[in-house]
Amino acid sequence: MDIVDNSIRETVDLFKKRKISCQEIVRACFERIEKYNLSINAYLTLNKEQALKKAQDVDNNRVKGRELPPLAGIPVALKDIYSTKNLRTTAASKIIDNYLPAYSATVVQKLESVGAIIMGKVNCDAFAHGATGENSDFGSVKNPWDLEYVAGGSSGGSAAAVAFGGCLMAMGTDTGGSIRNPASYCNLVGLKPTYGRVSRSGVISMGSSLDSMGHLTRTVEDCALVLSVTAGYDPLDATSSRKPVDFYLQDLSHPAIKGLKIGLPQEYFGRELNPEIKTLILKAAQQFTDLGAEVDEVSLPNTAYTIPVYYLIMSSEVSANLARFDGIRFGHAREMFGEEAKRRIMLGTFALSAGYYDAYYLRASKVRTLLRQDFEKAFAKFDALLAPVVPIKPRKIGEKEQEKLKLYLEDYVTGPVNLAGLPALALPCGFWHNIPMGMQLIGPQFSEKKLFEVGQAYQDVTDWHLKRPPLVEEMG
Amino acid sequence: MKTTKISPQKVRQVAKLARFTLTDNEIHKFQGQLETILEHFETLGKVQVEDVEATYQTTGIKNACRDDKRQHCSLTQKEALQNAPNTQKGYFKVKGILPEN
Repeated sequence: MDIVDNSIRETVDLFKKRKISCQEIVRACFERIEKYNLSINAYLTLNKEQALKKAQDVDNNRVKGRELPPLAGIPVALKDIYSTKNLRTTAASKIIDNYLPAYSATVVQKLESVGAIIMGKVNCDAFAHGATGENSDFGSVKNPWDLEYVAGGSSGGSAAAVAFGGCLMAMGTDTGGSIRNPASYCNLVGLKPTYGRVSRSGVISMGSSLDSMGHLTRTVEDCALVLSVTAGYDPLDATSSRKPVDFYLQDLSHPAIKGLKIGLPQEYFGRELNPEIKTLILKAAQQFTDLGAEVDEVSLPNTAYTIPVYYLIMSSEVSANLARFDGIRFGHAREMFGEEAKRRIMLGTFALSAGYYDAYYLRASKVRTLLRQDFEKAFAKFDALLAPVVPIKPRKIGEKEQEKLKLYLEDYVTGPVNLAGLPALALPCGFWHNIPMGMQLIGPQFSEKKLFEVGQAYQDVTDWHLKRPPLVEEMG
Repeated sequence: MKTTKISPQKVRQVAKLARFTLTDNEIHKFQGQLETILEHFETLGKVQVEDVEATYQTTGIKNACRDDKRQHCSLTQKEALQNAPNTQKGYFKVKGILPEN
């Protein structure tokens, strides 16, 4: 354990007490990267020179006694689909392996404006297509908890980078579970915000009606802190919300969950759910009961349609969004797309093509309404829902590579949240053997503040989130 | 036994729409995979959706338009072209798209 294994909150305190400098922590993170990145494959591009220079600026400002913004000096990793001005952005695909954006995404600008230090760009499934981090054209991401296992996906590099101490937080994206899944695999807190709560501008699009810009941190408090920076209306994203941003940190010191009604969607606890994982989630449910919440079963009757609805809508939107990769101004010819992107483009193009549109895309969009209504009915009675994130036993690298469709089927517990535009907070709740396991709290739209309170109440009485990977613990 | 059938011609047509040049092997592979995937989607056909409206946007935003006034220009021409692989006289230089004759 080292200074890079602390939470953002602890690090900010250490900065304030002058126990450490920003340059020290940035250097320490780069040392970790040097030590582990070759085997874990999280970072694809480093921003070392710039990061060290920015760290020096932060330290100079501190010495001058200037008031520092909330994330001043905090090392951050960005999933490689966030555009970064003059810093290579590949979407982990060879089709744009040489792309230097002319501008940075709104989220990146916001992070930089509050002093965050961009350490580099991290690996993911190419174009965020996948749930294991293995679909990258630059090789699989390994899980820092056990290098034989996947780090989850698609934001696998984001999760791995935080887990091994290559940064203190990372931005990811979640279209059908891509933040919550790797957060679960790497013992982190992962937030998929309400659709439109965080600007999508400047992030390479996957499914435009589904994509959410979220982040991975070590604690619920850090997660709330980061959302206070990233959330808000952006004129460059017409789908971003004008709703005022809540004060997410306000009530975290005394989270009120007594009498809170938490629902367990019974369709998520069926035969498909691994029994050992089920035990972990139900144990967490018991802990919420002990904290004074009222936990009861609830039904989301249309859950069985999640996979066809999600895959039809997502791949249709993918086929439209990836149409712009034509190799005319930037990047290479369309044949350079990886196999998974090609498959999704083919499926989406088919579903939108003349004669099939009504039977596939339109019908899926109608059933999407039914899935939304399931949640509306549930939230009439419950404040939040508790569910698994990874329903099957954790995967090893290269395992069952041929069973692509089986991988698709696992999204049934994470995909509905995106289809309904809801927020969901994933947080650690135990271990499946040596691999971390997370649960998710799902709330009504724009209920992030309440989800943070519930998550904080849980982390106040548990210590799963304080555990670090053995390779980090062994560093002494 | 696959119940959803897609002909190789249909796969070729979809590939053309998607601007892919696929090998015969790839056409064959995608034909099988698309059939398998679509077969799993057949359950949707059983859902009663006659009176259900489609969902395209989840947070209720409709027709988000800005005022019809000139906006601050986000990138200058020079900035937009700064990382272009090929430029000429202030434009992107690209390969010809019309056949020469």
